[in-house]
Amino acid sequence: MFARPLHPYTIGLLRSVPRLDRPRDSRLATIEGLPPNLLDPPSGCRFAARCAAKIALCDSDPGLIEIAPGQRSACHRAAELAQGDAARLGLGTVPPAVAVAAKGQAARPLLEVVHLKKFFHVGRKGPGHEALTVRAVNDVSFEVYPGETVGLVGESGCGKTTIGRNILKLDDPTDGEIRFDGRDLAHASRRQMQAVRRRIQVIFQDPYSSLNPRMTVGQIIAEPLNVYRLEPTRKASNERAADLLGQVGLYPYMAERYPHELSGGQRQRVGIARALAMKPDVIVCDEPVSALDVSIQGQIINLLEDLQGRYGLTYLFIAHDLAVVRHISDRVIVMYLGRIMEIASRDTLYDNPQHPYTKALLDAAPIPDPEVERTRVTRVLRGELPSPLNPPSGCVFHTRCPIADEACRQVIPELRRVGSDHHAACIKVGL
Amino acid sequence: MTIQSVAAPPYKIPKRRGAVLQFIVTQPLGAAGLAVIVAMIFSAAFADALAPFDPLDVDFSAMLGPPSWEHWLGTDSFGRDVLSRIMYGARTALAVGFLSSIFGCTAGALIGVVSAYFGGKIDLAIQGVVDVLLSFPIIVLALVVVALLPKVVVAGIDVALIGAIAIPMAPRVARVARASALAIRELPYVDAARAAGFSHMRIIFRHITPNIVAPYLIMLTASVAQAILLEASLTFLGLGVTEPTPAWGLMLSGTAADFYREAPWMILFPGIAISLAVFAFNLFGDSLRDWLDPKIQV
Amino acid sequence: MLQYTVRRILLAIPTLLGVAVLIFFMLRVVPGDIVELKLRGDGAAVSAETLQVERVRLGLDKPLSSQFADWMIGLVTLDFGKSMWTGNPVAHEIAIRLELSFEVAILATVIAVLLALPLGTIAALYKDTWIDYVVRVLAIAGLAVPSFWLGMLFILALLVYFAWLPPITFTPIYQDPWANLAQMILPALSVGYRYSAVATRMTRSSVLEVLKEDYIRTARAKGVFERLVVARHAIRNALLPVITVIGLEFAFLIGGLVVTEQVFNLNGIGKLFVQSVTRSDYTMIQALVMLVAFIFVVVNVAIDLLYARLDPRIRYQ
Repeated sequence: MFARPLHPYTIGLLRSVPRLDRPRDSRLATIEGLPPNLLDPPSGCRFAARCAAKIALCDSDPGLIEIAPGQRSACHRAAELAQGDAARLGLGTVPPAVAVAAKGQAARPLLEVVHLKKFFHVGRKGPGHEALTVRAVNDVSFEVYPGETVGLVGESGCGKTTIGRNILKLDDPTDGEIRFDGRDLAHASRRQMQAVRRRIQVIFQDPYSSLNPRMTVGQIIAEPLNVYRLEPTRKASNERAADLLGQVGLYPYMAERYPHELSGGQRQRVGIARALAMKPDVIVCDEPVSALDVSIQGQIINLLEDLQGRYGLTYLFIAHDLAVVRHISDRVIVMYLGRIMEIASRDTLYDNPQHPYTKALLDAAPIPDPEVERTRVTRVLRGELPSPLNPPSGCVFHTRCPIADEACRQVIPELRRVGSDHHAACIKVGL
Repeated sequence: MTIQSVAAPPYKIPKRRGAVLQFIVTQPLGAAGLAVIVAMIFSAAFADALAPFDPLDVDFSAMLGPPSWEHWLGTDSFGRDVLSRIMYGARTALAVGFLSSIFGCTAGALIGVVSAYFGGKIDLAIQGVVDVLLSFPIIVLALVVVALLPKVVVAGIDVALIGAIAIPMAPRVARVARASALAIRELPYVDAARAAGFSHMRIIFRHITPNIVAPYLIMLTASVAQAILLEASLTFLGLGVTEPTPAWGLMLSGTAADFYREAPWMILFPGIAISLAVFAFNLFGDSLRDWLDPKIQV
Repeated sequence: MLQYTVRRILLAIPTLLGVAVLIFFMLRVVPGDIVELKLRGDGAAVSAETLQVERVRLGLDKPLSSQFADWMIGLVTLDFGKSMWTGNPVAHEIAIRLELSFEVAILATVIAVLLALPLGTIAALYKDTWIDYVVRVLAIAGLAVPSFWLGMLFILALLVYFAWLPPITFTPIYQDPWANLAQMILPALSVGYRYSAVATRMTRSSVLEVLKEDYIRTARAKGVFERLVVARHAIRNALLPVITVIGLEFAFLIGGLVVTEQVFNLNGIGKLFVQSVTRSDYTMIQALVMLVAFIFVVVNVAIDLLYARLDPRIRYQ
């Protein structure tokens, strides 16, 4: 199935997944359009409306026919697919990218996170009750330059989402600084934040709970416009909301809809439009595609890239999917248990990972191709993720690290430069 | 325009049309309760036209008369028509019931939402007061409030009475509203509103409160039932509605206590009216909960 | 267990303190002068001096802070002062009425338990049959019927069928148990109906919860009562919420007594409370409110201790 897919839909699904074993395309291939309405399924081949290899015959319902031993496909052109390559039938062409504004590294970072710490206290306080502390983020520093996309990867619970929430000031940092455009946000008052709020926006993971179910799509997008009087009249803000809907690939009439009337991908686009409405400089994308179907993921990633090109946006892209992060990021930060393990430019990190944790992560990531998977030597991480309540001494990774020794248990490794634009926090990694 | 990769038409999702019909079909008991409530509201609203007599009309020639063709439910010790007094009494019961419930539930809901939204010390302080108020039976707290508030009558309704019924309700509603609001506060769309830098007021009133409408409505219905019962009790004790306003509680107190052994219809029918009204609102409220959100505990 | 008991009792103190503070300030801060109300209430012309004399007598001329201090000290020493109306010590006025009200309350509890446990269990076992519906409708009706009206109906029924009226004067149970019971049973039934309705609903849903559990579902092939036997060790868990409800309703029984004592003309705590409210007898109201809160807190502590006894994990939380 994975090696030789015989249905255009299967081909599309496989192609829309960003892959670690292939060179990074400038754009992800996607399956065009939306899944059809199940209440009123199209006649004939159900995939025909979204199929690039559609022919007249596709108006009739294809049966599930055995093409090869043990492999059956419900496509009129399955036999052709079995013989030749899919590209000849018009499948797997990548839509052209919108011209991307040149990304140059500006001299001054737009966003600086300096020695950020965020501890949570759990359990009852009081005499006899030792308050337990979760060190969600422990001494993290990095910069984000204007116009770039910084990917923040790590397993769940590593503190990546907490960093995003601290930058957005949804949580207050325990210690450290967050400098945006030179100003410290960590200690900013509510009033001081007000001026910055508009410039830092957010896209959430769950498209179902990130939109207020009692507001129409139009109200959701127009709300910040009205609150900050970004448009002179209500009418103007409604027009701009409609325009924004177009920008994110939705129809203006959808402004009248309520979120529950939209699909997951459409809701995520509304979330993007809401963030865009504020004309932000930075968007914190907190796992924006993790909750979406594979076929929709690619569309959203392409949309984010197009918007970045058009408006010169800066993204902090938080995700656990290494392939997605590689696709969209310029630089990548790898986190583990509240600390940064490695920072590097994308190609450096994926081609030449230095930190044993990064290596292990890349090895563990599944590749949807049985042949590649067969030949791969995977180093599986030993043991369980330690509890952030009681993180290991020294290097937090030493309990699972294949090359750790006694020194790793003692010393907390500094983030050291290991190459041009490449830093790793491991005492075993030399230059 | 940059409409790309969206080709299929948007989903058609059935509108919420026919919700009333759906309620009636799936919740027959609730529908029965609703029917009684509607009948009550109808007879209260059109009492002027429907009631056979003036509820205040004293007729000493017809004192303590049993049910008859002229007086369907008999007359009381002043010769006043019991049926007419019940119909006008429904006015008082509904007005006091709804007004006090709306005040009590709204205040309680706001207190609960504010408590949940701000959290921390504000939450602790509010919950402390709420817990203290919850350690009283409703009627005890209502009686204390009655003792406190001076009697001010506006449009035939005693404001102190409304307060006495509304105040014990508020902490109970506040508790449920707080629990609902706590769950909503954690949702990403509230985070999005905070990240947009909206004011506390806007987040509370535009993003949190509209989403606790379901528990609010359920509690409101249950509260009306309680309020009607409480109003009747307070009135019966002589601390609620006073003569000459027709009220069900009044029909069971005063001279009724002296004469009901001779003229049982004097107390039988007003008592049935109270019970039926409370029963109907409880039934409707229970079904509303099952229909809207079975998880809510009132 | 001892440590937990002590801790739980100490935790109850802030609640009582909160009630004490709240009731004191509620009664003082709100406009309205008890002296004026008491002496000029009927529109009588009373001189300002008389009012002042009365204020001094009741201690209302002192500053609020010293009144509050008196109230707090009185609480600790269990001295609630004198009734602002009769002038008798508050504690005495309450004590002479407590026996009667407690007897009604306990009788009502017995009635509620005797009705609720079997009815709730049977309704659950025969879920969605006519038996279940009858019990449920009776229970919902119990929440709707005013207890004072129910009391009147009882009196009426006795009069019509037995030509008998309950006696008016209170006979203590140790003097003549039958006369006492004859007098007390009707008020107890009046308040007990609502009480048992609440408990029946809780019993039904608790038993349903137990029956839902897996190992009991396997015994479904057997008859309903056999199922109950199978579930008997689970019944203990089902009883916990029922006991909680019975306890809390007991603490709140004063609410029913307030009206029922009026109907049966019983001179108990409920009637005293209504009288105090009518007369704006603040010292009496304060003391009665503290009594109600105290009962509530004691019942809550008792329920928590019972839970802890049945489930040792709670103790160490």
